[in-house]
Amino acid sequence: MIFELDLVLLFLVVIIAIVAITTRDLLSAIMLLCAYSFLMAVVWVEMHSVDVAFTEAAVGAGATTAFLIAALSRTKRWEKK
Amino acid sequence: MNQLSVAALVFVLFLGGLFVYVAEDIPAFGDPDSAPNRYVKLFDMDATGLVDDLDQGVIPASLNAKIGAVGLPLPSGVAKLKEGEWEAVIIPEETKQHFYPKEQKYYFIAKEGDELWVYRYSLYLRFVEEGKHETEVPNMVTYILADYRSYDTLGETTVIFTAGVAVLLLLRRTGKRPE
Amino acid sequence: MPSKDTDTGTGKGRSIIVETVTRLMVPFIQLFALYVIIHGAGGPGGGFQGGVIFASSFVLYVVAFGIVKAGNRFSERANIVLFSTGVYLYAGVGLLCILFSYGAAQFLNYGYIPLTHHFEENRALGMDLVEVGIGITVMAVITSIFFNLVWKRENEEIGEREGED
Repeated sequence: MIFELDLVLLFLVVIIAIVAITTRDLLSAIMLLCAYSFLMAVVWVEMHSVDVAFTEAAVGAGATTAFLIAALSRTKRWEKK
Repeated sequence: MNQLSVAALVFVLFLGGLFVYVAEDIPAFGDPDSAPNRYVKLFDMDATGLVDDLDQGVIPASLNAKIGAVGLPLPSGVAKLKEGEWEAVIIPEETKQHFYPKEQKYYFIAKEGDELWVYRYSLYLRFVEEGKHETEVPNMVTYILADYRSYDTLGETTVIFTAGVAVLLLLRRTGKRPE
Repeated sequence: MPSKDTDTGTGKGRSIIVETVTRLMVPFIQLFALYVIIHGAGGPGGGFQGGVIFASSFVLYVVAFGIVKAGNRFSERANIVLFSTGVYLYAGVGLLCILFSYGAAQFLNYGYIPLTHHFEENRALGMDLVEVGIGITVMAVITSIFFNLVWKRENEEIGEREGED
């Protein structure tokens, strides 16, 4: 496992997490969380655990994002300030 | 940035620092010889006169007594790995041959100075070493999840089933359905 | 709300392109999901991941065709039946081991299911059956959660639309 690549990926993951929290637009927050899941899947593959990466990609990016968007369709899109 | 996110950021940095400080003491997970993966120490006893017994593969009575005192099954055979290290195995009775491998590695005895340290092999050793032969499945994650620990996975599937039923009952929209 | 001009006669502003692409893609997603379920032994993946991918094919179907058509295509009744089919299959395979060994084997010890003559291969095949069971349950659960989440919304729109016309 290439240490530098891990470092870059994990740094990106932390940035995405922070931006997802601080943003007011919920839809973009969901999209950021979807990207977060994909990056975490890449990090898992980097650490040679392919089953977890497969699950993270399928569930994290696929099912969870679909649920969040379906839930968002019931509430308003902009977080109250 | 309001108060909360500043506090959250400081907390995250503190956690990161703590992890880096602790990181070097954690045994590398993949390291096969680190204690939790390979064996766990049971007790130690003085090795006067026991070494040559063990070399010939004879289990000294005092060792049996001590193991019995701890409450673990008695070994049925001793094999010499290398100088000062032995390995006690248990051969299950004929009827349970299919469930357990031919001889199950149970205890690991190491000579430290003039003492004998007796370890108990950890359970994962059987999954790691016997698994591929016993289940003819190349993917270790699958045969541990679906075969050795399939009772847990059965529970997990039931949990998923319960979650589905719960959501169904809560969110189900009865009444007018545009069928 | 989908504006009127993109309405190409397929109801609530569903564009033709999305529908035809989905009609092409859904079978292949499901095929890939079955591959993932069955090939849990050899490579990465297994019952759980395959089930989720199978459910995501239904999610795509709902996104393209809307919940009403999807409701007709994969009715709630069939979904509820599949909930427990997977768990029954899993526990059933476990019970088979006891039956075939006349009580000698423990529950879920697949070696005693006489699929082949070798004890080890029986275990491998027993595992595949169990992975299929997990796949069915996970697929049904995630699909039903998504249908229920989306279902309410569409209903209200239909309600409002009827009020308008």
